Amino acid sequence: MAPTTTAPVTQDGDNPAGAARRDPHDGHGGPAAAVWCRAAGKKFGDDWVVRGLDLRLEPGTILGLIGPSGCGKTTTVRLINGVYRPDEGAVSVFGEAPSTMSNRRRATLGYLPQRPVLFEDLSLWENLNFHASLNGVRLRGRRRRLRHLLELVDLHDDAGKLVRQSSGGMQRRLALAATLVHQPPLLLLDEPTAGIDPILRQRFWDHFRDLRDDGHTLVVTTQHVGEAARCDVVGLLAEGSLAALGSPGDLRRAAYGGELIEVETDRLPGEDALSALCDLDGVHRAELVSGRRIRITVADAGAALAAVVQHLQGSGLHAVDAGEVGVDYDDVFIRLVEQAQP
Amino acid sequence: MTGAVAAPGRRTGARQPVSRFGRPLIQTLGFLRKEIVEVARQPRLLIVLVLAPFLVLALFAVGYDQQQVVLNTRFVGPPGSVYEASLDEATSSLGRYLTSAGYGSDREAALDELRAGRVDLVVVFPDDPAGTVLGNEQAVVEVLHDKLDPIQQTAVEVAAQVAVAELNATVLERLVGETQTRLATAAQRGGDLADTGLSDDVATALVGGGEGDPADEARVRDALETARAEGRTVLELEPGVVVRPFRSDASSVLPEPVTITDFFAPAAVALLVQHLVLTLIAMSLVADRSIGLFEVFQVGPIGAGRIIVGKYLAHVLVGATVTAALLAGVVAGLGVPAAGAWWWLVAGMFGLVSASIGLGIVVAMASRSAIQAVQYAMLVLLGGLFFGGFLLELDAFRYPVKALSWLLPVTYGVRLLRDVMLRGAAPRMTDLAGLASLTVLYGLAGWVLLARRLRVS
Repeated sequence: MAPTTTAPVTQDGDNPAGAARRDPHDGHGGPAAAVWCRAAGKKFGDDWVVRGLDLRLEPGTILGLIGPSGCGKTTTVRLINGVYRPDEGAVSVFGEAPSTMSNRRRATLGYLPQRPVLFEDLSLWENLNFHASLNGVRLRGRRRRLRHLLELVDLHDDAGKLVRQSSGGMQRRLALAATLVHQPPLLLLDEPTAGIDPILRQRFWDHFRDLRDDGHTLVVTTQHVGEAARCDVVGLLAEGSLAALGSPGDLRRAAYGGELIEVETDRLPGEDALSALCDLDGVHRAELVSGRRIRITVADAGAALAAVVQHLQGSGLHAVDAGEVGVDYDDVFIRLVEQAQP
Repeated sequence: MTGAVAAPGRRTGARQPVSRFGRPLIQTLGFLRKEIVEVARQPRLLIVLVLAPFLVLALFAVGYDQQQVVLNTRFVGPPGSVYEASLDEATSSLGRYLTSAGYGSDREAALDELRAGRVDLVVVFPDDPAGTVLGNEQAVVEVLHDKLDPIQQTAVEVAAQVAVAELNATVLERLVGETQTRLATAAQRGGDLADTGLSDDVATALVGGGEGDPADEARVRDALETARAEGRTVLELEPGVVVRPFRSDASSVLPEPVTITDFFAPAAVALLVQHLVLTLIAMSLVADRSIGLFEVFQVGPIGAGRIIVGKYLAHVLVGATVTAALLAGVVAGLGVPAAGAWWWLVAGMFGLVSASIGLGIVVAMASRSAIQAVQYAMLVLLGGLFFGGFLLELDAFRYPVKALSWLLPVTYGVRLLRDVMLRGAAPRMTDLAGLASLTVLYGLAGWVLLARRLRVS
């Protein structure tokens, strides 16, 4: 399937500067994209791990990369952070190829690897302090910043504890704090919520959105498919390719062929009623899911709901309950992966 | 449903009971297989473990020069004496042990040459050996050296004794030869006299009867009296003095006597400092890499240069602390002298620590795992032990193997510590320059290797 694209992320096929490695501007003098990839690919040996990656991510956006294990999420992140140079195509971050960025420009990146990079014999505070130094955080005001971060990740009371005495979850939280320590404009977070309990995960996402609202751009990989709904844009990777790219709603529509509404009627609808529903403008499909409950696939749930209810009433069926369906993103994910498979 | 779950387990055998003796065997074999596979998949480690020590030993065998060290010797004695005349003959017969750096009469100038390292030995001959011997004492040949190595000290003493024994033998040979010549002459004259017959007057005078020439009589009496006195002197000489008129007295010009502990303690300190510092920084870098810090370095706003400088400063402090503790231990605990100026010690040890840090970075970059880094560090230790002047002087090796010594910081460290602590001298500029050069060489190599490692792949 062709990946869905909406602002603030676009497929970059129409980027006039697409051929250039260092100029991802939109061709009209606009600001550089936070992340820009054009036909980017990476191979190890003869095997392409990622191929044909096209995207343009505007600043102040959360991009979630989801996909099955081994689909190329981490490789994509490493192409964006400059650890890997693309074997084909081009990648740029804020208008510059990440693999050739100067040290000063690299301060714009914050990277959280999958495995926390922490020193076992240092305390949580000392680890955070080291990462602050590594990223050139000035000494003035540093204590306040570290305290704030430790509070954010709920580790303030454990600041003096050695890493080897702390749990895996604490280590992941500390690693996230270390990534945020220098307030980089672009955050590349490789599975930041792995091993984190749901309550803290919720806090993380709240903070991610706060960062986004402050103008930060976030690229977050996750295996919690449900977290896709929290992103502004979701990229679904399957076998090294971007199978789908768009807002969570776009993906949902792509998975089901539109938006879903469900209507419960006062009596069992007949086949004729269901067929008639499909004739309505904007309605793609209608099926009986259980008892008197009809699931209707529509182009726009907001616009179609009233028309559907009105049509049913005209057919002598009264809607007892009607509304847009909350989507299980695991199901969306499975459908999209299945659709992406040849 | 239950049956459906149980059935696959039976089919795969996972739930089949294991016998009491089977389980330990399975578990043990599991470890055996895992360990063997792990080791076999690290061919570089195997090569380092097995071949590298043999390589070190082979290099030692190839590079070791079995020729005895010939001591460059300055001779000192009265000007124009018999010593000077017979020096060439004597040194040619002692050519296995020493070679002549010339003859002079200025003892202090010769000692200055010794302290400056231009000669290995100074041999001072006695001014009046005959007078000393006639005084019933052996004439002393003074042998002065600045050897630190107790083995070499003993070698010098033995060489001096051999040389003086040779000298005594030469003197005795000449004495006996001259005596034989004189006796032969006397016998010849006595025979001639007997053949010709004594005059009546002389015979009468010798027996005290009759009238003879008083002048002749007086001469004869004087001659006899002199013969009696000299004969008495000779008879009173100790036979040992007659047979061995010379003896050697070997001594060191060092400020304090050097025991075997004194000799090896500074070298052990240098070797330990190099090993500890090298191992610590190598392990630190390997640990950084294993926890994924290198990937953070790649992404972060930091380059190889700053990482190296930061590591270097930290390990200089660690190394300085270790060095200070070790030196305090050998001086206070073992009583090893620290005769030289402390600032030379500080400068030398700073150089040793710096060069060792550089070498440690190179070792870390060449290692793929912590165990490999430890193995490389042990090899460097072994190399230092054999080629760094710990056991054998550098002159015991021939090039190109000797060049290996110059690549080891400990080579300069050992010599520098011995010079400063035991000789009380300033370190040789070559040693300080060597450590500075190795610091730069290994530092640059480490920087290049780390930068390559952090380069985008």
